[in-house]
Parts: sequence; C-alpha cells; structure tokens
Amino acid sequence: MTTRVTLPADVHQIDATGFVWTFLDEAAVPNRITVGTVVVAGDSDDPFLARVIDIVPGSSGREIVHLDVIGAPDQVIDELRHANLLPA
Amino acid sequence: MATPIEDHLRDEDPGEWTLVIRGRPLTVDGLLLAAGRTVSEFTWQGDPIAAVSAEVTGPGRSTEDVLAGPRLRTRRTYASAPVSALVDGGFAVLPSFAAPHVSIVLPTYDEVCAGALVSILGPEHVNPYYLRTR
Repeated sequence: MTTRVTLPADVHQIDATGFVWTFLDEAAVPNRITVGTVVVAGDSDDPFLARVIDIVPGSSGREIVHLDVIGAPDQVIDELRHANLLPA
Repeated sequence: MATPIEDHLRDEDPGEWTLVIRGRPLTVDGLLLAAGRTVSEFTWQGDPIAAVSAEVTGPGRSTEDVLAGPRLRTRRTYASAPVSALVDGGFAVLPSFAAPHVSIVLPTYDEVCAGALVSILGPEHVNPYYLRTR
C-alpha cells in the first residue's frame, strides 16, 4: 500500500520561526490542515509526524504552514501499541 | 514580495564548520521540490534563491548531536560531506535561520545542479539515532 502524505514538506526546511515550513497548496486535501492537528508530512518515502502550528500568508502570497516535528511514525505506532490503542 | 535571506543569516564563521548533513529526501526530484519552495519565498543578492536545507557540524556541535536532533532523528538515513567539498563544487552554504540550519544554494535550479549536489553528498548511511529519544 502506498503511503499517503497529508502535507508534502522537507523536515530540514525551517524559517525564522524555527519551525518546518511548507505551502498549504501542496496538500492534496488542504482542509485537512488546520491549526493544532497532527498530520503525516514529508514525502511517501520517509514521512514524519508533525503538529500544525499556524497557517500564515507567505511573502509570495501563498499560504505557509508551520509544523512542529513530533517524530517518526514508527515511534507513535509503538506507543499506541504499548497503550493497547492499536492491536499488537 | 520575497524576503531577503540576508535578513536571516547568523553571524557565524563558516570556516569553523566541518560537515554538512542532510537526511532524505536525497534525490534530484526531492531536492528540487524543496528548493522550489525557497524560490517562491526568499531572495539572495536580489534574486530568487533556490536552496536546499541541511545542518552543519562544528565547534560544540558533533555529528551525533545533529543526527539525534529533532529533525534528523526522523530520518532513517543521511548523507554528509565536508563543507569544503560543497564550496569547491560551486555551492554556497549560508548560515540561515537557527543553528545548525544552513541553506545550500543551487547555482542553477535544474536537474544537473541538483544531481551534482547529490553526488557530492555521497552515499546514504543508516542514522543510528533514528527512533531514539533524547
């Protein structure tokens, strides 16, 4: 099954806020991206989990999404399994 | 109007840097996608800048520090090269935003240039800090 990334981003790419930034219009379904939500970001080869910090106008006029990196998906899956929130 | 990246450069001596480190994506397409974002948002020396983000080691900042950092530890693999190799290859490396972040400037925004950067960064290595918590 192909990994579906909610918001394409480069985990290395930060700006003056110190958070990872990317463009909202790169999301296949932009209305899934709202402040406070946790999203699968990055690329399908090596995605990461992040929380949406804010959505602000960029200097180009495109909307910028700032992301706080939570970690790798495997970390969260492991924790959810430990908590019996996912089947082992 | 795009933001001059000069407004966000640290007062840091690049001569003290050792390695440039970057995790996936380390493909031509991946680097061009990332650099395309900076073309839209930032300028350098008055022109749109195509730049790839990475991190650097140097005084007080080891390879292990970078690989275990909040961004690199989400990468299964990484590649690295001496800063001097990038500069010799024609890539300016700017101390942008918060340390240890740097912007590697692509002289031209095309596949040839991105491919040259991939070659200089070299083979991917397993990140031993992937999944670990600090």
